[in-house]
Amino acid sequence: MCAGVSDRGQLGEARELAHDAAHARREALGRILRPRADTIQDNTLGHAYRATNFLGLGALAAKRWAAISSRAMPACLDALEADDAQRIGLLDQAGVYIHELRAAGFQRFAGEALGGDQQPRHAGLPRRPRG
Amino acid sequence: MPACLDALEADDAQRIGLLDQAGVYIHELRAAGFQRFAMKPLTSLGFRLALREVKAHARAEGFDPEELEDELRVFQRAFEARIIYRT
Repeated sequence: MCAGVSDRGQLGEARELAHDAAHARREALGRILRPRADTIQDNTLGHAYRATNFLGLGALAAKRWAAISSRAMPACLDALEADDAQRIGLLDQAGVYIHELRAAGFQRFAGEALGGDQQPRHAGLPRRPRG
Repeated sequence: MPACLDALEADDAQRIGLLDQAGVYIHELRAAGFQRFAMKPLTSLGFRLALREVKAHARAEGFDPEELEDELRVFQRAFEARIIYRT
């Protein structure tokens, strides 16, 4: 704005509105996060503990796991892209890596925890149309 | 946590003061043997989990999730600048 040209208070008003909007957003963040802060903190520390301790299996086990799962990754990605029939075959083939993990001493509970705890409920069923 | 939550709700000027006060806890963590390299990923993870909650509950508070996400990121930048990188 040029010096000497009045903004008729519009600039100040705009600033005030922006300030009010920011204040409202910050209060909303507080209302959302205050009652959940302890849970978020517990989850953060839980994730960190599991990551650093690798489910109690230690750093060497983490390296073994990484080596085997890296080899399995291409087959799993192929299965991700495949249609239902191909997918089943590809996942069966990828099962060999699970046997390798078992042979390396990993228990089933570790596989489930690292692979994700939610199995798709529609596995093997026709997909619902999207949109 | 209470100091950080107060800072989250405060305006810019108050926020800086509150975050600077909260820096004392970082000194405590350092004194307890925690290294700086451990703090950044933990902070990022905590904010990621917080963001998930914010996005899930934004509409119930009358906001678009993106609006509150932006506001939380503004706070995260201030938090990291004043607490993680400064202390």
